Amino acid sequence: MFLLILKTKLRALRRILAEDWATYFILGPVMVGSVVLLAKRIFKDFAADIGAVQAVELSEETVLRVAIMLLFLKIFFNFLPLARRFYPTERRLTIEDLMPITFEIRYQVFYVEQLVRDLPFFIGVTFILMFFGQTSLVPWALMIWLFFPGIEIGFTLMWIHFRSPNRVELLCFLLLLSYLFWTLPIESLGFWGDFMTPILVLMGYWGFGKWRYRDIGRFEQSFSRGQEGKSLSELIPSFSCGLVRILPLTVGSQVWRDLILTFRNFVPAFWRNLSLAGACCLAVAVRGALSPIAICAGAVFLMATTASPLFALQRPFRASDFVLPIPQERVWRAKVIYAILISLPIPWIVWGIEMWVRPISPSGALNLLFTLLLLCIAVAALTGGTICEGDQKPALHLIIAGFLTVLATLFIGAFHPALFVLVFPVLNYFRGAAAFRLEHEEFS
Amino acid sequence: MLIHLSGITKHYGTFRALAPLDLKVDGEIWGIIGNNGAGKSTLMKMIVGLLPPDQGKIEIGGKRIKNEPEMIKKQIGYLPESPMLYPRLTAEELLTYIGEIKEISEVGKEVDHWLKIFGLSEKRKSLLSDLSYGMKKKIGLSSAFLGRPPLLVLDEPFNGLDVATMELLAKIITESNRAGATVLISSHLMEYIHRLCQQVLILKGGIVVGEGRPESLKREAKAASFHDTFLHFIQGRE
Repeated sequence: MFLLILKTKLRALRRILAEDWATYFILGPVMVGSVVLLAKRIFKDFAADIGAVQAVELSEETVLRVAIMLLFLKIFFNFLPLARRFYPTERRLTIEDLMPITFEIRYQVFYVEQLVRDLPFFIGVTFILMFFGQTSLVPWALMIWLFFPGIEIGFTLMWIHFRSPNRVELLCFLLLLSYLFWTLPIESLGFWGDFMTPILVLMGYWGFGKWRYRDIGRFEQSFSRGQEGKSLSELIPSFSCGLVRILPLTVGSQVWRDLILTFRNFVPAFWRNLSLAGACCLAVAVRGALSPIAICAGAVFLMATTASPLFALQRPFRASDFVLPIPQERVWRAKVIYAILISLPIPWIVWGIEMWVRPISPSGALNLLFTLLLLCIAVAALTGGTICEGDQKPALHLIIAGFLTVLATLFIGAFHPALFVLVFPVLNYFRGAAAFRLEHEEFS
Repeated sequence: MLIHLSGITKHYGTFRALAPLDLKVDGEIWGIIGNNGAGKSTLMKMIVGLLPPDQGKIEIGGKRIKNEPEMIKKQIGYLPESPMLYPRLTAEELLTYIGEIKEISEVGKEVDHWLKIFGLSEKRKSLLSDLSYGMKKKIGLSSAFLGRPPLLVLDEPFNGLDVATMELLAKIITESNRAGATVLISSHLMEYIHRLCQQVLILKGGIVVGEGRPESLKREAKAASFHDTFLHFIQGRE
């Protein structure tokens, strides 16, 4: 039974990949390779260009603690998306829920699916570790990848069963746990890890069968009614009034809608990107030889790529928008502005941390801020402006936007901020291409 | 508002969705009926600009939608067969968004009006994901009627509604038509088509097999009810 379900799911996955195999297996690796080579070059150039401080050596102990913090962060941001996949609510019923499949098999399938979902994280972490020459830590990353889904499933099920799907309580708990893990002696970390992992994995296995159906009501009542994210999205209307006045009405309204949707978990990737961008910003404090400009570009890129899954998730709703009197060019423009808006706090945070940790002269500080802001606008605009280039496939878009991000960083950060003007003709090209594609979209 | 379709066709690959079709509609309520897959939704999608025809041209108010899409779309209220509504917007937010895009004056009042008409005032702050199928349908209808557009294209508007709301909708459609709106409705509910529509178009496999006033069609089919009239045209003609 397990193999049968796996085979069916693999067949579906294979069909998805088969549509774009050349992109993912030829063009993708070539472009990723080019991006890495360029990034390496920029990395070296920046270090020479702006007189970076000496690298801060991180001990293995610190790396371990930071890794634990990042895993807590992942638990927090993945909490609701994971819970939404657990509970077979009316809206989430899958064909498997209606078939006579034992919970053990469903758990195994769910676990494998989770492993596949986490695979990019594992590859990314391995890549980073190898990049910084920390190959001895790769087996650790492998172990975390293999066992973390069990911990995550167990924790999420237990938390909802014994507490509630409210994320504010969860945040407090995880912050407390983070503090404890940060201050505990390193030897006891291993003990707690060894002690808690089997408990959570076993509880997850047991709870998957016992609690999933029992807790549906509580889950639906507290989460599906949409309280989650409401408080954040309530900040939007007043902001939107200003936005709508500044921007052309059709653009302003779309940006307003997209921001509300974002804060209400329409795009789960937003929270993941936010946490990754946040981690990048914090890394400015211990950046070593890496330029704050490169870190800012990376964080802005991560944040701005939210536009891509947003656009892809809006695909089923595009017909409703298409019948409205919106010029298609403005659909594209709204996504560009959206990408800029959600990324705009990043240069300020990066600059703030940099000035706090390594104060420089006022003129130098202003110069850095100016460069960071220009780079942010350029990277976000190019990332948002290329959403139609990946044929609405976020992974493909990621490669194209990554390539342009490296180029923008090179031109604006390494050469001269005035080269920001080059962004306009590039954007102009993408605008024309996007408008053509959007206008010729068919809704059969 | 005048709709003029001349020689429009549509194919999905080798499948013929619509054979060459000519139609002139002006200020009436038209019913478009046919079996599943007859081409009703395809025809409606082409009229509102969601699908381009393979051949022929569509003029709305004397203008072609591909030449002046924004101007024409402002004048169309469209209800798709399955309205796709953003689950994470509230009813009020979605309607305000549509109203703003359509540049409707006093959007707030207009939104209040339609929410009240469909009995959804209390649900205005509810996320669309929390509404039942029928309520979502009412939101879809409100979005189509918002700003009282001169052309209403309603694909299966009665599906999923309770009896009282179906009657209310029939009344709203009639009133909109009296106020000057041209209305196109597709439905499988022959009773409503018979009652509401001044003209009917019957499609079978993308071909028009009947066209005219409901009573004339009934006489032609020598049928006792409009239901039988429909079956006569669908089963008897190629």
